[in-house]
Amino acid sequence: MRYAYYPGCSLHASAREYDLSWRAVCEKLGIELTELPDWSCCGTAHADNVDYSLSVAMAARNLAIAAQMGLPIAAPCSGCYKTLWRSEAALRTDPALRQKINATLSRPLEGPVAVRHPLYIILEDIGLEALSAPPRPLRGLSIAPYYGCVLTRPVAEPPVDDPEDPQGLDRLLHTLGAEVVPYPAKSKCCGGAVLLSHPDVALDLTARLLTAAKRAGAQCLAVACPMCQMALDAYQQQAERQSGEHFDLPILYFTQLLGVALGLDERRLGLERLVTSPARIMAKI
Amino acid sequence: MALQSPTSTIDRAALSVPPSLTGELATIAAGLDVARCFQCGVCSGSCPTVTRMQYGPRRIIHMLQLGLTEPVLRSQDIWLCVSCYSCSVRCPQGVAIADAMAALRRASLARGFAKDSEAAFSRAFVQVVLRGGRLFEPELLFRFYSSQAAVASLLKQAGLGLRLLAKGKISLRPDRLADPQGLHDLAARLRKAAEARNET
Repeated sequence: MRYAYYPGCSLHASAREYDLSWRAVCEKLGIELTELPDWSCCGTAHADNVDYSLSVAMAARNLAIAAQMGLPIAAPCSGCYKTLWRSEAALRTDPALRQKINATLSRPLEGPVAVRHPLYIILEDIGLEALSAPPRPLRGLSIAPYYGCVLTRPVAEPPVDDPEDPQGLDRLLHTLGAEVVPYPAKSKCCGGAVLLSHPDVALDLTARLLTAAKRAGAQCLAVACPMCQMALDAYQQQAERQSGEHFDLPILYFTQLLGVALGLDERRLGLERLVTSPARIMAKI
Repeated sequence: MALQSPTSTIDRAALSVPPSLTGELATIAAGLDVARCFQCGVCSGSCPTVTRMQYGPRRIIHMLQLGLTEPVLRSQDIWLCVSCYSCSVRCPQGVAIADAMAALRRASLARGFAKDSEAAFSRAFVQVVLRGGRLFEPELLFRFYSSQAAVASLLKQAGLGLRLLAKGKISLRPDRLADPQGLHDLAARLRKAAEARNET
């Protein structure tokens, strides 16, 4: 199991703990990661708002590096993941687009590149059976799984999960011994996309989501995207002020929870870097 | 269910756009595959930000079908779309609504119609990543807030900024490529190729 690791801008900055915990989990599970040398920003939805060709070219530059490495890409940020897989699919199926984009790249993209998200790498390459008796099961923890939007939408070919009612994270957390909290917002938007341009719109969505999870009895949320994590954790106090609700819900990356269950040292998982401290709920395990 | 009359909220003056503009803008709608839409409204029913919008996705699509492209491109609605793709996966006619919204945002920006803060944010984002190859958040925040002349908004976030700095979530040193000129050159080559083809 070898992957070309595409951290994306967030995992090198605001989501350092996602990077740390993903690397630690991979080391433990025997997944070999090689970071793409000299990777660049994927462009995400913002470049797509400005210039479609530029957005595809920004993704293609990275796809070409992975193609040269001869490895599938592991992209932990859902935004990068979606941008990279969709650009790859567009370039693979549209020869005219590919020719146009390749003409602008100093290293043209050759051949197909598989783009995968770590959640489904764990589920498909490692499998739940191998994780069914973890050294430190998450018993006593009620977790609301949160998928966000672009991990499962638009639907990839073949689909990784159900776009409306995804199950992958539910199954992983259940296997690790946690109580999985059902709530109606697990694939609803967190507002992360417009956090800075339309903060009041974003905070409404954030508050709606956290309210649903809290009412369902969640003690924390498990996420798989740095933008979701930022919206739900760093902006949680502002969402509390705007909505008048009280949350105090730690927002953990699924890789951090997996790392805890696998018995990894918590310092290697960056738990202390979360804004809403998970110390109180960690004591329950 | 009877179709609601779109004229109740659509500016009648918008119907009188110059014919040449209608012709040019008509090609935008033609590329978006909106003809299949039968106005069921599942998109607007699924949209997390529809309550903030003037028209919502169903009416936007209807307006495109009617050739009312300019009011769509001038509308804030297309910038309130959060690209969650709920509409796209639920559309019974397979209209790629979220992608259509992105195409409308590009057309709106290209024609100078976009006044929304998200338009300024997207532009600032692209400037920052083309310069350094990777996102440098402090620079993006500075560029965005100064474009909005929103010093008060920036100051309102100062407390959060300090907390994130303390958590090591904001780096004050940009994470740059070995060759930061690479992406910039790539964008320049794309622009030149587009000019050669006379694209807008």
